[in-house]
Amino acid sequence: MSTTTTDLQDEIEKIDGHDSHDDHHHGPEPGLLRWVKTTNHKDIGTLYIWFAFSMLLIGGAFAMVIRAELFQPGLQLVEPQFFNQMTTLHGLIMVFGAIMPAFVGLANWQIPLMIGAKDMALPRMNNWSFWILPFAGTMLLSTLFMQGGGPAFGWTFYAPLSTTFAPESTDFFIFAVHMLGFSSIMGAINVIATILNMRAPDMKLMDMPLFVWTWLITAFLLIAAMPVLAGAVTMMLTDRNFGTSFFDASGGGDPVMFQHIFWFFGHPEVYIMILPAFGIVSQIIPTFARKPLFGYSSMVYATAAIALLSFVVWGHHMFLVGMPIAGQLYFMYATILISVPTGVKVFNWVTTMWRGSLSFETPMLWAVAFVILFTIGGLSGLMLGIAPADIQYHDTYFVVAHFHYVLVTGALFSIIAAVFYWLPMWCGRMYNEKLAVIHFWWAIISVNVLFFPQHFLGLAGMPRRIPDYSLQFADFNMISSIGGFAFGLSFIMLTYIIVDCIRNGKPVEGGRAWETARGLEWTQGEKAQYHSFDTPPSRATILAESSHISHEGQH
Amino acid sequence: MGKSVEELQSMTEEELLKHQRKGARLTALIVAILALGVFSLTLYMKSKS
Repeated sequence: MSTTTTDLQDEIEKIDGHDSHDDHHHGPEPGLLRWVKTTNHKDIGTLYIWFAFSMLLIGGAFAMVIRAELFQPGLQLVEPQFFNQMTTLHGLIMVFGAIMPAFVGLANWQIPLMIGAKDMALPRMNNWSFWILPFAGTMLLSTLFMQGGGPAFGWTFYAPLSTTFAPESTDFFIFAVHMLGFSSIMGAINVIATILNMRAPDMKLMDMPLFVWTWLITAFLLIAAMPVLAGAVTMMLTDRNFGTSFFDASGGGDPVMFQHIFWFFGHPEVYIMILPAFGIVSQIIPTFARKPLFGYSSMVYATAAIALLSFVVWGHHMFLVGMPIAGQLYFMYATILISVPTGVKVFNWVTTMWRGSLSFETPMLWAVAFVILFTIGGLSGLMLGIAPADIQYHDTYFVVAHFHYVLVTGALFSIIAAVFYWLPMWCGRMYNEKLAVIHFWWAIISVNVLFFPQHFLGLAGMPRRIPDYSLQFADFNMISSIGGFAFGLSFIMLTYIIVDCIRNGKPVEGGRAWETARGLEWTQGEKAQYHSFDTPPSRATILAESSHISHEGQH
Repeated sequence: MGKSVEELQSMTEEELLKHQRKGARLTALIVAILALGVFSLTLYMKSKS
């Protein structure tokens, strides 16, 4: 580097308050401190993904307790109060500790690589966003060991259960939710700033890969939804400790208003956990169908439409609170309307596969499973959206089956698909395909044995969030628990496959791991380098690497 | 921010990074204010209801 360039760089550092020497021209710092101090997007992405995986195992362990207790009717293993703590923390840990951080980890790894940027826009804030999480997660889990036990009011923490009648540990829960929300908002700010400002100069918005588009829209959802959650828990905090009566009817407050505020956040939150999944599947299917993505622009508009609609349908969670018929009709029709842009997406994925040269490597298996099983979850969602029918389904296991099809076989499966798809590029090594396929079939069978019978339980009237049940529900509960244990075990195999890949995997040689994969992330050689894109990619490279325009004749 | 693709392409690596980060900080500030606005609005609406 010439003296002039060094001087200029020093000047930039003074202005930016950021040491770009560390960031762009050195390798990783040796030792464990690398992971504490790092501002490198790949390191932070790795931290997020391992953190999410740890939380997934903890949340999964809670699920095992739930399924063990429900294996037979009667109270066998745990007290009802502890059972309620398990259902509450299982939901909270999986939503805020596992699924959301996993997607942020994938965003950290992939977005800069996919848009030709050197790093995320605000690297130090990126470090901070991550390092808040372990403290928030630990605080949330520590409530289990406090006097009165952990929160036991369900992940929706409805007032007054979470205010007047909650254990003392609820204040720690509130602080943990505040921190988790703060981390998500900072992450979203970083994603928006990165996508809008750090793209290669020649990359237009409609050149961006679908994963980047879905994350941009998700980040705006986060910005609009998470502060509402922060407002709700802040009011809970003041109701509990400072004598206010936001949600206390005896003081002039309104407990039903809590539900409105919660679901104004909660419904977009569902889409926060599924839109990036749509992006992942839209990257994987064209690679293994060997065709450009069908209907790229309609995918972008459908994503935006889903995001907008997600803010006007919250009432479908509350059909039974005593809503006027006009309100029920509005929320019913608005909810059903979401199936239109979602249907566009499913149609486009199927059409991308139609007459393609399909091959079924592990990422594609997970992506196809996503399309089929997420659609099942979507269809049961439509059933729940019908106001008169929801009177029967509300608070039954049918709802549990529905949202687990959406969040496990939807969001989680897309994350697993993404890990298998990009892992060879991240570490330069290939996983054991044979083991990965065995793992896929094990997981796919067990997850359906776990969740499909829950539809029948719900339709037969079994309520959710109970540790004991009537005898007529015994058989399906036993089948569901067996599926649950088998699905839980599959994660031991997944851990082995990933660790084995990182440590002993066969090196990827001679270019990209998937020869038909398109995208700037694959231009890094066999393995992603610690620092990427010293020179922004040219227009020609961007177009050549697009997975949504035809490259006929090039292969 | 207001620069053509040709101008951006003619920049050195450091100049481009500096330019991008400047825009990113402004974007981040606007988005952060939006988030704060949503938070304040939630509290305000509830206190009025």
